Parts: sequence; structure tokens; C-alpha cells
Amino acid sequence: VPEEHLGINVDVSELGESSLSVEETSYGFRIAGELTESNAYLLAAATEDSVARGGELILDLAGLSYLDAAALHLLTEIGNRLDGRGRLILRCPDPWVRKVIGIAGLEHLGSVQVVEMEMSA
Amino acid sequence: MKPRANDPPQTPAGDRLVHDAFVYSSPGEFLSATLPFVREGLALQEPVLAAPTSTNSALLQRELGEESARVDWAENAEQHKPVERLAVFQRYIAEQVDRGATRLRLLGEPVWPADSAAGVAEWKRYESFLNVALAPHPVWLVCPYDAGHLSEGIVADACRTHPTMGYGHERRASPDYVEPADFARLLDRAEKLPAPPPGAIERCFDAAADVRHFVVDQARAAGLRAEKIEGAKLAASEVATNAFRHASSLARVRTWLLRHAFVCEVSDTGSGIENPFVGYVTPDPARGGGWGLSIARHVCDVVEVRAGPAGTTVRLHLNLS
Repeated sequence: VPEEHLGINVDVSELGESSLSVEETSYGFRIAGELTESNAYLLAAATEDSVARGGELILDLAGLSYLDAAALHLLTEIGNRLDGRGRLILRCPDPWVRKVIGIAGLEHLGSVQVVEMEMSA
Repeated sequence: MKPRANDPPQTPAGDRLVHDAFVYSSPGEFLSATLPFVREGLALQEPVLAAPTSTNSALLQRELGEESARVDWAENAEQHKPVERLAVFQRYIAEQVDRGATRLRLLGEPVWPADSAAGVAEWKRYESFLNVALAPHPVWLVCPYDAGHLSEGIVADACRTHPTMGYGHERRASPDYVEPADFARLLDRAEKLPAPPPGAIERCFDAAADVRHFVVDQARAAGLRAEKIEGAKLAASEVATNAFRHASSLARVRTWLLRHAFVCEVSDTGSGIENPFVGYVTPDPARGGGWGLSIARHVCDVVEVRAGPAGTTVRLHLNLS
């Protein structure tokens, strides 16, 4: 079922760069491709208003195949900024992305939750 | 012989790390130290975390009987890499101190690999680094060394990486103890990186994405499992990213195959890394930052770092099976 597009829709795919798409949906953001040092700023910019506002921020990671240390740094920063006034929910990471998130210990932050399966509507 | 419970040489006090090696050559000897160590900790209401080999874990659990349930047994201790073991220790200490513990006991046996000199050297480095990483914590850590099965080199270096040796009445300062930074230098000198085999493939890159493509192709051709390919990709990319950011605009990447492992080496010509234990600590997510080499150590089987004024070389080993 296609989600309604709510303005922000970033797609970067350049030679030598990682390909990333960040799409605003009715529930948050859908992220696909590779989230790396070269493009993490795009996600930071797209989510800035939501993070500043607080509350629940849902990132659907089902289409994300790769994330690096810079991406973890950004997700951690978002989690820390939401601490006490919201929550970062990381939805449907693939097994590898899940593993990397686990290594970094992101869910040890009280403000970050990893949801492994598709939530029912 | 059973040591008395409150004998000063047996029970070190204080609020900082005490790091002992205990060399044993039979199951009975193993128990003669570890059993009173654990029991006394439980009697004093100290949290006790044990990460022994599976054989020794079974031995201890049998002797402890019901008391065994009061010991925290590290999960998958025999699969740990140094970076994972340290992360388990640090998380446990943080949790227990949060709950009000003023003194803790840890029992940890490194997972000495049988087929990797590089892997053995990294566990030695970890043993030495514990003296730095856990220094400010109120922990008594005992590391049993199996003289019957481990190589002489491993047991000899236990005297260099542990400030104190032995247990109970036998416990005393190790005259051979070497400060961690000096031990790392000694180790680097003793464990020179062997030259790659003639068939090694070499490329230079100026972008991490290109490093990732190359490493994935090479790892796949080597027959690595899917998860190990992802590990090689992530680790090589992180190391290359560090090189581009801190060192040079170009990174040289070489890959080759050993009997048991795929090796990927990333070198730069920067001014080197000061910290001889870089990447052993998994950063606290509440503070963030600095995950690059730590992640590499988590996803690879062995990571070797050699830094000098002429540049830094990082070798990533990923086991074929």
C-alpha cells in the first residue's frame, strides 16, 4: 500500500557515493539504501523538525541495507536529543542492520526502541 | 589447601581494579582458586560474573550446586572476541554499580584461538588493556590460565599483563608486569605483520563507497559467508573512512586468503594512531561517537592495528567457516 508523501523526499545516487532515499510518510520516515558518512546529513536535515518537536519518531528501516559508524552516531544523537521528551523507534531493520544497531547498544538508551516486525496498522 | 576467608593477601580491598592471573594445570587446581573466589564473593553479597571456558564452567557449576544460580554466567563466553568480552564486563560493572554494588568479582578466561597467531596476540593485548579500561572500577578480576593446554608464550605473557599472580597464600605481585602501553609496543615488535602472499590483490582508493564495492567482490570470490561479507564491507569501509578523514586522501587496500581466513588490509600514510588499544572499548551510546574501529573489531574475527609515523596499517581477518 503506497504511503502518502508528506513533502520531504530525498533521493541521492551518485557515482562513488552511497544511494539513499528518505521519504516522509504518515507515521514518520521510510529510509532505503545505504546510510553512511557521505549522506547521513540528509537524514539529519529531514528529521530535524520532528526531533526538535519531540514525541515519537518512527524510522522504517526495512529498505535499509547498510549503515556505518556515522549513521550510528546520528541515530544515537537523535535518541539522546529525544531523551525525556520522546522516543526514536527503529522499525524492521534487516538482520545485518539489526546486528550493527545491537553492537552499538542503541537500545540501551531508554529513548530508543527497536521493533523487529511489521506493526499492524 | 583451603585459604582462610579474611586473609589479607587473599582478599584485596580498595575501590580500584585488582587484576590477577592464576595458572593451573589440573581441574582440581582450577577449582582450588576459583571456587573460594566465587563463594567468598557470594558470601560478601558481591555481584559475581563468570566467563570461563565451557569445560570449566560445567566444573564450577557442579561444585557450586545451588549457589551456581547466584552467579551471573556470561552468555556465549566461548565465542567472545576481546572487544565483546570487554563490552560484557563494562556493561555488567555499570549495571551493578548503578544498583549500589561497591565491590564486584569477575572471572574471565580469554578465548585463545588454536589456529591464529594474530588472534592470540590480540587476546594478550586485551589482557594488558584491561588494566587501563577497568582501572577506575571496584573490581577483582581473576583470569585463570591453563598451563596444561596453553602455549608457553601465552602463560609467560600472563605475568606481563597481570599486576598480580596466584591465589590465596600464593598471591603476590608479578615482577614481570609491564605497563600496558609498553606491553603493546613489545607485542608490536614481537608480532611483526607477515608479508602478504604473492597472490595478494592491491588497489588504491579515494572514496569509501569504492572500497566497499571492491571488498565485497573480493570477499565473495573468497567464498565468505554472507554475514562475513557484510562484516568485511563494514569494517574496511570504517577503516578507510578513518584514513580519509584523519590521514591521507588515498587508502591502499590489499586482500588475500589464508588457510582459515580472508584478510583485508587497509593502509594510509598519515601520522599514525597514538592509542595502542584503539577500538577495544565499545562507546557508550549515551555519549556517542568513535564507533569506527570498535565496530570493525566486533564484526571481524581478528583486527590488527600497526601505527607509526609513516602511516597506519589495519588488517581485518574474517574466518572462512
